[in-house]
Amino acid sequence: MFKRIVDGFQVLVALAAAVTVVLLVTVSPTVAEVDTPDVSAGAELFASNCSGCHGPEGEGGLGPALAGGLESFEAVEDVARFVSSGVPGRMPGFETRMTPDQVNAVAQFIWTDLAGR
Amino acid sequence: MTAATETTEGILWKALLLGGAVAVAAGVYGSVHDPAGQQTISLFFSNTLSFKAWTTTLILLFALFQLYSAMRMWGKMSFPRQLPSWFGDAHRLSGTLAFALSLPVAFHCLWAIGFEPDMSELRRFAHSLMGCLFYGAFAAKVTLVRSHGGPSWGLPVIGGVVFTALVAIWLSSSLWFFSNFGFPGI
Repeated sequence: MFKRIVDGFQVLVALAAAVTVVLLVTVSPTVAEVDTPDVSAGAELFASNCSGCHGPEGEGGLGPALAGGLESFEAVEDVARFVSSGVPGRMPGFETRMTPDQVNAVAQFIWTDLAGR
Repeated sequence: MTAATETTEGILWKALLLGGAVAVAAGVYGSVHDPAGQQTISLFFSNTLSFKAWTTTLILLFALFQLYSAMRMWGKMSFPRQLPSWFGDAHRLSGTLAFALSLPVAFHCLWAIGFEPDMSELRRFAHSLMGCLFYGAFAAKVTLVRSHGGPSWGLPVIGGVVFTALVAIWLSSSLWFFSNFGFPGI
């Protein structure tokens, strides 16, 4: 009986592995829809696109901390350019996933609310 | 007509080639796929990273049972003295559970983050490499188990590679997470 349960479970897990592979090649990133590019919209965009790596409060994680930082940037426009282009192999670029207004909104949120600049 | 029988070397090569293909496929996907940079599953954890750190820890516990039960079945340990009839199935179940739990973790690694090619980012680079090695070695191990007839040293060696890769994965992810974000970091 136990053997049959394990056999059945292995079949289910094999199917789950196949589904995972299919999802890897079919699922596209989602982008939160916003109407106006302001800081609150930037917060929403940050939560859905950036917090996975930079932390919910910008405290860092897989990516570097943003809160109270960004010394290497001189202006919010630099942040927007960075968000847009990304860094190959390290951070995805968002120019194909967000409109320019959305990129500006999330950059503004990072610059003012998180970095306090 | 005579049925074709696979040689010991043939079975080993089949397992190694399949495992190599899986490892390379994971690495290529992680390199060419544009990382989504988004959270995926987090269950009752505060974020996906916390979910992954704890799930990988659970996988490591299952892997430790795999190691122990395999050593007992191969006669390298003597406890319990009498093997219960369900022991082999418990070994299979623990391995299956470990693999099942690894799927959402690997999905986030590959889909949202991708392969780190920069060797100066040693932790991320080693983690990427070990992740690919883990799935490649796992595929080779399953192929050997299912093929019946590989070399006697094949399973212990490839099983050891799977376990070693998993320990390296845990050290470069879960331990790093608990060290940097505090324990339990839920």
